[in-house]
Amino acid sequence: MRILFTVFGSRPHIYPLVPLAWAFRTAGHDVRLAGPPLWATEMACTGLPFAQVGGCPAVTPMVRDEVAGAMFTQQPWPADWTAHVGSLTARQWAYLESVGRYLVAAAAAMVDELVAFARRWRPDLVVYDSFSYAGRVVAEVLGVPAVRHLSGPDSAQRLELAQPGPHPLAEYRALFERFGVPVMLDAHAAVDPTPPSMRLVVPERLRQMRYIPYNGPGCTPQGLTTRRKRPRVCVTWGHTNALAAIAGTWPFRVAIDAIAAQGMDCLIAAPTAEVDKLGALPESVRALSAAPLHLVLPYCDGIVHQGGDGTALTAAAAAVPQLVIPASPEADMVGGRIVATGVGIAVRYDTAATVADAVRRLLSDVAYREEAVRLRAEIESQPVPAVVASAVAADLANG
Amino acid sequence: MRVLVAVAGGQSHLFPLVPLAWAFRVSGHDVRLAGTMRSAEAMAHTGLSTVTVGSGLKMTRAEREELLSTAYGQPPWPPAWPVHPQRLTSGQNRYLAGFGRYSVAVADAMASDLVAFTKHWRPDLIVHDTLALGARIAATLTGVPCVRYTHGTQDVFRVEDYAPAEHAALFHRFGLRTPTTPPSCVDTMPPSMFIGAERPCVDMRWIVHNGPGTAPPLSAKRPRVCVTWAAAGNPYRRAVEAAATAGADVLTLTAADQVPLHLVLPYCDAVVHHGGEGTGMTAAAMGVPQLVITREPLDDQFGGRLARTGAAIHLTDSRDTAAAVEKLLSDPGYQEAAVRLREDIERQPTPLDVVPRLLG
Repeated sequence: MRILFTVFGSRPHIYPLVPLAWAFRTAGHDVRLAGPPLWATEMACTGLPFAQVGGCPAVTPMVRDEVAGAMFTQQPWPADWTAHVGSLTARQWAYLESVGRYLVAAAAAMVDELVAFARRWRPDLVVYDSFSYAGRVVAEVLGVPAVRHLSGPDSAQRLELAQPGPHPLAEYRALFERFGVPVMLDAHAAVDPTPPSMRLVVPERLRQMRYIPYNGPGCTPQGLTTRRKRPRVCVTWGHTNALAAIAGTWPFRVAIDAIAAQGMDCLIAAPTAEVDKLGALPESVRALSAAPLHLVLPYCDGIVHQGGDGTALTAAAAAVPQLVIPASPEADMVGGRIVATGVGIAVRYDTAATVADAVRRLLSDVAYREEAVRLRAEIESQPVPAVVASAVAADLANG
Repeated sequence: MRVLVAVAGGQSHLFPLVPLAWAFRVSGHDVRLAGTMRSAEAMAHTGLSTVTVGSGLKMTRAEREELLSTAYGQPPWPPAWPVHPQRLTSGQNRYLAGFGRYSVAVADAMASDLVAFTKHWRPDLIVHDTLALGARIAATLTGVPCVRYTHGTQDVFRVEDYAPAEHAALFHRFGLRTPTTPPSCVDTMPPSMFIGAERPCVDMRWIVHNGPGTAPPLSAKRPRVCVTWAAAGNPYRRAVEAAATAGADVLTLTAADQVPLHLVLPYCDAVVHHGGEGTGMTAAAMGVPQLVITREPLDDQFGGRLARTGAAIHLTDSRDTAAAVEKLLSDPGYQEAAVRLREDIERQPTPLDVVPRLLG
């Protein structure tokens, strides 16, 4: 079979698709990854053949900054809001719709070239990142099944809807109408690597998959693997926060200082340019420029992060207790899942003392570590991508 | 479980191992790809987690050129030479011994680091290419099972037979005797390419992997012939001219183009190449008829194997190129045989099937 994987871009949405794409490939199927040219390097680093489709003309840096600005200036949202969208305020719905329109614009910018590519390449199946709507359109245009691929608890959101649902945004409808095909909101299956106890919203036609971390290629940095004398805590703030200059990174600077002040070693996993903005750092702090998180966390006793899907799942797969400092509604929800599963703490930043106290509790209470080990075992008991790929292929063969 | 995949050779050794390494990963195992500093960039483009072992064999430009000119300056060897090694001339045996010594030197340059990493990381299995002999040393020292991946060469090139003294010295350096049993092997050669020199091994389907990349904009109108030659130098001008004379479009592809062969071949009716396993197996797996013009002993036997299937014409003299290209494009028998060869390959167990067999 030929299987087309589609992404609108950004690492958090490319990375999660990679294990399933490798699984189809090593089962003998032909695979293409399709996404915008801006992400060609990230696509090439997966080792998979890829197609560059569309630019991002409709998604200017201004639009992106506007969405990010709205994202990082929200007051805290209820931790379980994705399960109760109907109870949100009109203002909160408006925020969700603005994010949805941003994602639809990203889809609109690539869908024509994606359809043209797919008509040439004739895939038998389209697997699309759950926020990469162009993939759902192309499957309908070609009349082939579509599999929605989630990337963690946050990706279960239905941002293509006019909130609070159930009808789609007019812009989303237009994506389908320009090709004269019916508007589709569902998929033939939803592959989700979120472990059940971390999941808040169960997607329809769920196909559970084990989370296998892929955070780009690379190697474990020197000096991490020897026995450590003091506890070591990793600090990272993810790719979306890094883009959102508006939010700054200072809650994480506070966390770094708190870790150092408590006599622990601190590892910063962030691009060098980001780390440079932090100013002079305590001596026990080490900045790693480009190491995949899953090759660093096995040598850490805790992690402080921004509450992204990929970071939370990578830490969960490594059984590392987590402190989430959320700054957006999405991160509030992911932080809520970390608390609900017992593997860590979530605190919105207010004072340095709050962060310092959370760091201390994370490392001193063994319950977080015990629950983290339990959650890792839960992840490891799910069907691996190899099994999911063969199940999806069998479903197709049986019509 | 933890699986260490060690590669001493360049891209031609790395690429065929990638699907198996991915298969371990998507089956839930932890994988490390080990290679020299020189392979770092190519390794990064597999998406796998990597570890650098050694900086690679240092050769002067003159040494490298001499090695290549010896390899590609051989008069044609009989294609079935691996079946009758006793019939080789003393010059041919000298050539194999020289290649054996070179292979041991390549292995030696990464062996110490590989042993150190194995002792530290404690893999449950080591898979290595034909040149990464240090993997077998590391496996013996740590008691870890080890399997040699021969990427379609069917274990023809046996360093231990060609340079026994140097091979033994390498093992001795780590306090070990030369192994008395042949290594366990995984190989991707389909049965229709066997010539009777094969050793038992775990069969695996050849999954095409030529690195990441995008297909150039091509469409299928006239017949199209792809001409490629890797490091073999370029005796293929005749092929380019012959294809043009036959009314076909010609697409030349070199390593510098950075275009994966398998993204081009779906738009080609035939491929002309030097007889490398990566190129030949890629074309075979995609059902494309081949003209194989070989100038090196290992390529000679590989070209012979492809010709046996009926999907290829094998030449050791490029003077016959024009007639061969014409025949390849006009006789539908080659296309039919190419489809049979592809089906033969597709019947083999996939890398995903092989994973549980290797981890037993």
